[in-house]
Amino acid sequence: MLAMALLIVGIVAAASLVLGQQFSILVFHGIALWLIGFVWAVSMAGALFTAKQMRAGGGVVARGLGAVQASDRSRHHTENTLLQIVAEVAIASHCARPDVYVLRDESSINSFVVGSLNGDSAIVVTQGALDVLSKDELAALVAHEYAHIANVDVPSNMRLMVALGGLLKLDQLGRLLHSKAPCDAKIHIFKALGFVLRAAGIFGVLCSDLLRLGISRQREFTADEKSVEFLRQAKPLASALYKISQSSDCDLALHTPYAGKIRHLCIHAGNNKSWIGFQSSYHPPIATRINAIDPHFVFLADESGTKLLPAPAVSKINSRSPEPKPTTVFNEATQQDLNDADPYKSMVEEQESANSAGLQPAAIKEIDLSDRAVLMMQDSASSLAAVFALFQPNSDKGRVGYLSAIAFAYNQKFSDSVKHLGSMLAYELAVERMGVLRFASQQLTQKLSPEAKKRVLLNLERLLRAQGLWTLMNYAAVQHLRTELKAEFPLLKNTVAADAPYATQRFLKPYDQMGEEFALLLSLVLESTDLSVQQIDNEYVRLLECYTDLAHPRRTGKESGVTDDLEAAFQLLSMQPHAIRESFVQHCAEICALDNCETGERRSIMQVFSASLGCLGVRNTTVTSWADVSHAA
Amino acid sequence: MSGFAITLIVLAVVAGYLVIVYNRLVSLRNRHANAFSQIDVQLQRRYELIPNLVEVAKEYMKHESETLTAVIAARNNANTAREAASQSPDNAKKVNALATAESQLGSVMGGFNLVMEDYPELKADERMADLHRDLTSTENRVGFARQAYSDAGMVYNTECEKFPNVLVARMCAFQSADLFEVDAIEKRDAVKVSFAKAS
Repeated sequence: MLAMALLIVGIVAAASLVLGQQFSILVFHGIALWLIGFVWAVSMAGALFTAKQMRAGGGVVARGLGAVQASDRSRHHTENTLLQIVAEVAIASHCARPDVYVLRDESSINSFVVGSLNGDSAIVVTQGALDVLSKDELAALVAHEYAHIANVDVPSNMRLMVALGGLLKLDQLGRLLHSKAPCDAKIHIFKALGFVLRAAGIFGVLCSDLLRLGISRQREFTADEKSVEFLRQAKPLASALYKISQSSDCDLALHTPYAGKIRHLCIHAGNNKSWIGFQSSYHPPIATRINAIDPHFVFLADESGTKLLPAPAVSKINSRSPEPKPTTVFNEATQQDLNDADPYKSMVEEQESANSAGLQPAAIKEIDLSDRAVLMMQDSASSLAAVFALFQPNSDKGRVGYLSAIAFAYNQKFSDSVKHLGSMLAYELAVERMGVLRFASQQLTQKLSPEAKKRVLLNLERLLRAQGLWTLMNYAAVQHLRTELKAEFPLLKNTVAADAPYATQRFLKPYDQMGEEFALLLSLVLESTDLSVQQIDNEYVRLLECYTDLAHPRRTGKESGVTDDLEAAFQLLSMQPHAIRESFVQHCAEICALDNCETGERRSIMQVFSASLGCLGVRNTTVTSWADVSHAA
Repeated sequence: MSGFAITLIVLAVVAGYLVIVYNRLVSLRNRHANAFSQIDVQLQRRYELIPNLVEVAKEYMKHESETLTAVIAARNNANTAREAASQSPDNAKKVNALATAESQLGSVMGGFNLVMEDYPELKADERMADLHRDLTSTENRVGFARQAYSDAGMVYNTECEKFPNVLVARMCAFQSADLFEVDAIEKRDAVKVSFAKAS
């Protein structure tokens, strides 16, 4: 009513302004009165038309929305189950059994109840709900709709729909008049009327939106509560809501063109950006609802009777309780944190399992990593940030560029997180690279889906390439990360799968034919040291002789296309027998020792490099200085 | 206005209030009684399904006539007890007899299910699957009806015990609902028709 009063005042003010007359709330001019009368009449006619449609009962309204009555003779046996459930819950709720309709073309998981103003209701369930939800979850969904019937929400919802119908008719008529006005006429009565009607319609719809926003939020909580009371169990409803939140089209309430009219009736109203730009939803967030009905809700993926989701698009869950079973706990606050902090919110699937419920004492013993680092890398977001921090360049300028590239590729918050971890764990990232890499990959390996792992690695690779950081050592570290995350080399995986018995043989080049690859890798290892050009040249020639008789020119990382060769060479080397790899790693360690600055940092890099080639580690080199080598030579 | 008129008005208000309370108690009592009849309806539905189940089973279980006879006997026994209890739901003895008969039927049905495990063709029969679905649904309905009965009884008792409703209840001989029948029924094992192997 307030909205309509405001609307009338608005129309009067606008009309007065157009006519150049003084505006007064108390004294209406003739034309303004006509306009008000016209708008009122159209709105009332529209509302009456909608009310007439609704008077016929919930079934007619449901059919009008494209639903089909559920039948026990249907070839879809799920409809039979639905009918049985409706009959069962009717007893629990003391309500008369309503008609049951199914939106067979609707893939989203949803349900709603429609009815006439005198309470003749019909429950409508989408085909998506029938396909995805288990019997218990479906019963919870139906009980929620029964709760709306028991709470007498249906008549008031229908009144809202009637009012909305009238307002939408205003908009429709406005559009019609607008289109009928001649194009060349600047001011035309049809145009002016159309404009007024559309403005009134849009304003009215907005007001009704606000009204729906206010009413239906509280009603959903009450209905959820009552549904639990009917069934005496909260878990199925929580599980159904969880599945709705996981469905690929959870942002949409329904795909039907009538969705706008009935969204506030649905169990899940979706999220939409209204035309004035604010995020509006008629219902409270699903996480809040789950929390309200079952604060300790745990989703069991392997629960009997639970059907699998066809394609869970988004998993935004964080762990909260150390349950011993494979679990996922839904928690709004932590979910928000994760979404903010984690750029991979679309890919991080935190499927909490026994191993990841807490720390893994056995695994930690194997990893030489400080407690501080362990504490700072407790969740997937910080582990991911630590991995990215591992590759940040040493120079200030390079670091700034690297961080801004991360901010550009993902978001500022993640970039800040990388920066923070980079400064907090500076020592660990430099000296305990292997430990950080292993611990982070352990954290990530159970929480990322295989696709997500591939994307993380691909993104990291692209970032490093774009920043000119695609050096041999970084490449090796990424490959090692790939191994730790159990994401195979794409090239080798495909080839090996194609012809497993021969693949290994084909990739096994004779030792003496690998000169080119060794030459390239040696060149790059030498480049990564602090030796002078002269020393690099000398050392290159000396070490190449260990591998091949042929003279291969020394190459540099600055050549174009060298990165592709590097990948091929590295992969080839990683396929070689262990002894060859071991000796290569040992030579590389010697080279690093030569420049007389075998720091913890260098050793740490070499550790990752040797691990990436599947070697245990670097033995202590006997060479202590460049002078010793020269002397020995 | 004289004191008499004021007294009359006060009495009228009090009488009106008592009438409202009385009507509310009556509607709750009837709702409670109706809730019991819901259990009755669902039990009857179940007892009607069991002979159909046995008919289908007969075609496959030709050497298990003993089991089938036991099922039918237990079903008939329970049905008789149900009829007796539904005629006088306030009679604790009859309701207890129904609970005992239900319990016996439950154990016999358990044996029937075990025997059925040896007949995979029977389990694959479409009619059997339909009956099983119906029986499971009826089981749920009996459960919900019992729950509704219990709820209705609790609400009725609460209303009877509230002040000043308690005065009206005592004056008009509203007896509090006994929930012991439900307790007795709850104690028996539910008939479980399951195709899953007994572990």
